[in-house]
Amino acid sequence: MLELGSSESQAVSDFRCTDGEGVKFVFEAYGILVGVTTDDLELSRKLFEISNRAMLGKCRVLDASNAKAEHEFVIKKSSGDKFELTSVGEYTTGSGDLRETLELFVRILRLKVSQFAKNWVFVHAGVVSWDGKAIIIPGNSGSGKTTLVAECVKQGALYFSDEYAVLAPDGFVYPFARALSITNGGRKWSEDGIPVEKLGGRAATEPVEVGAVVLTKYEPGAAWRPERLTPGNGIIEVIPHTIPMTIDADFSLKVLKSALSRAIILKGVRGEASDLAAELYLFSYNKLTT
Amino acid sequence: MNNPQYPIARKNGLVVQEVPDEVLVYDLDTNKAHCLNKTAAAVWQSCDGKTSVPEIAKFLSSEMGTKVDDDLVWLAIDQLNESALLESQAEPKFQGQGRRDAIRKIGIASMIALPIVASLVAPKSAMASTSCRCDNGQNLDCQLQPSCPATCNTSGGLNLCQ
Repeated sequence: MLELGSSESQAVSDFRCTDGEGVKFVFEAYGILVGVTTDDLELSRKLFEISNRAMLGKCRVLDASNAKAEHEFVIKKSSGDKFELTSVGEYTTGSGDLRETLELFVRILRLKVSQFAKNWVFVHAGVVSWDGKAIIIPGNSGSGKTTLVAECVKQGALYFSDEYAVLAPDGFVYPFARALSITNGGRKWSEDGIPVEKLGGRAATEPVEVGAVVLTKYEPGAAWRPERLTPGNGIIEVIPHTIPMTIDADFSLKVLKSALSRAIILKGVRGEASDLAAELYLFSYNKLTT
Repeated sequence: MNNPQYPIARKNGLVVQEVPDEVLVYDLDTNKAHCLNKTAAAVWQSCDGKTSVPEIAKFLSSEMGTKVDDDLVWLAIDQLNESALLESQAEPKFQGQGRRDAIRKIGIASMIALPIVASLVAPKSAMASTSCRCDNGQNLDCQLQPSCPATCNTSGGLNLCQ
């Protein structure tokens, strides 16, 4: 279930009432400015809290009367207990209950930030590290990267993300350590994940260099016998998972080169995630650490 | 290329990055990413419209310190042409079995790596890299994947946007 904290509310001091149109707040996350308008102050606070949680505490509230948002959302009651979400200039979703609407909002927010973040390149990937070198595991939704990341964490890896490799021009990968998106008996959505600590692991707090990229997909019974790709061939395999590639190819390619050109890039099919996690643990200590 | 003997490397609509021994090229028109190995990159960078294929071969011979055959340059040009990395399209010199024969012949004789252009298509949007799955059984899962149909089909536990 979605549970809303209250600590972030203390930070919210710049929400503005717009005449007859409700409450508007603007925040910055990963360099982009997002505006949200609602018809209810309490809902505004709730939206900021979940935005901040979705962005792992990186949202900074701005003065809504001065800041010009690049992406605007409007969330308002449509009828009864139904709500409507509009991504301004794009589309309005059908009515849903509050939970569905908030869920949708968080997903669209993540998408916007991952596409338009300034000075960051988001890659769809799981990320862990051993001894200061990251292993990036690119993959589409449903490709099993969360399962593999969880198994690596159980093998002692530091947790960075099960969703995004967040790369910067310095060539480092930064933590995006959200709760792992593992189904836990009930309905699953992005905020219902399992904190890494519950797996006995720890979340990274500092960026590290990329030691390796693992391009893999599951095949029952397969053994891990990867081929090593050249940096160039490895980078073009990562490009389809690079979210802002079609928006800012020049910057994305520069950052990919900076982050991956010294990494070991492996490609191959895998069997069970626990087996590959054990292989990666050994590989990491034998090949990546100095 | 206007005159296939004088190929011209395409410049517009491309983002280029060099990595050690390779060149990465991203085609903004097609969202295709290409990786040129050292040989293919050297040929591509020599395609200025003023240098003929034999001259490119001669230039590569001096650069790489070993004889480079015209056919090796043509192999590179065929691949660059197929990848839309030249100014205009032309009939390939080698096709099908002819190309395989040429690769074998050149591969045996050549002291340098055969030219290779590897290509992959990037999705048109960030969400295109998703799976058209709707694990929550909700249409909104599908609506957030613009490349997928909008309705979640849950029958038989399918959970796919259809």
